[in-house]
Amino acid sequence: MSITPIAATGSINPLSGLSSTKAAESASKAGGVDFLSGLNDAAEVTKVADQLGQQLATGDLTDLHEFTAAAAKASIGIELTVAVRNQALSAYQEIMRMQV
Amino acid sequence: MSLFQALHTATSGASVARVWIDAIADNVANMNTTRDPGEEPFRARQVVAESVTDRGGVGRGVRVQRIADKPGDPIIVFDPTNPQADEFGIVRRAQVDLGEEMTNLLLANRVYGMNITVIQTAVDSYRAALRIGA
Repeated sequence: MSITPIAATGSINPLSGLSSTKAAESASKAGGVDFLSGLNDAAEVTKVADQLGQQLATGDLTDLHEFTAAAAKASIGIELTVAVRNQALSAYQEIMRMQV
Repeated sequence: MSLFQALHTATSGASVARVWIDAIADNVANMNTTRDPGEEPFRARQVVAESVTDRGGVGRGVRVQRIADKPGDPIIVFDPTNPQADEFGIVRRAQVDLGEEMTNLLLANRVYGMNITVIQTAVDSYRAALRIGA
C-alpha cells in the first residue's frame, strides 16, 4: 500500500495590513538579541573584575584602582542590563494587558 | 570608544599618576645613594607621559611614554671617610632636589585623586541615566 505524499500547499496569501505587526515582531526579536549580547557584555566585565580581584588577592596587581574601576564598571554594567530587562519586561506586560 | 570610555580614560590617568608616585618614592629613597668611583652616579628619574588619541575623536587617555633621567650634575662632596670615595676623598652624591620631589608628590597625589573622582562621577552619571523612566 502506497502512502500518498503530502502535496505542497499553495502559498497563503498574506493578510493585508499586517506589515506593521511584522515590523514590530522583528523589532522585538532584534531587541531580544541586543539584550542577550548586553547580558554577555555584563558577564564579560564581571569576569574581568573577578580576574583583577584575584590578582589583587595574590598581590600580582600593580594598580589598585584598576580593580575598583573594573568593579564599578561591572556593577554599572549589571545595573544597565537589569534596567533594560525591567523596561523590556514592563513593555511585554503592557502588551499582554492589551484587550484583544 | 566604548560605552564606559570615561572609566578607561580616568583609569589610565590614575595609572600614570601611580607610576609618578613610584618614581618619586625611588628618587627620595635614593637621596643619599653614592656609587663607587668611576660608576655613573644615581640620577633622579622623571616620568614622561604621552596622550593616547584616536584620529578625529576625543582622546583615550594617557600612558607612560618613557622614564627619563633628570638632567643636572651630581653633587660633589669631600668625604674621605666614605667607603665609596675616590683617591682624592671625593664622593659624587645623587642629584635629588627634595623640595621639587615633595612638590611633585603633592601634585601626583592630587592627580591620582582627581582621576579617581572622575571615575566616581562618571559612574554617578551613568547611574543617573539608568534612573530614566524608573
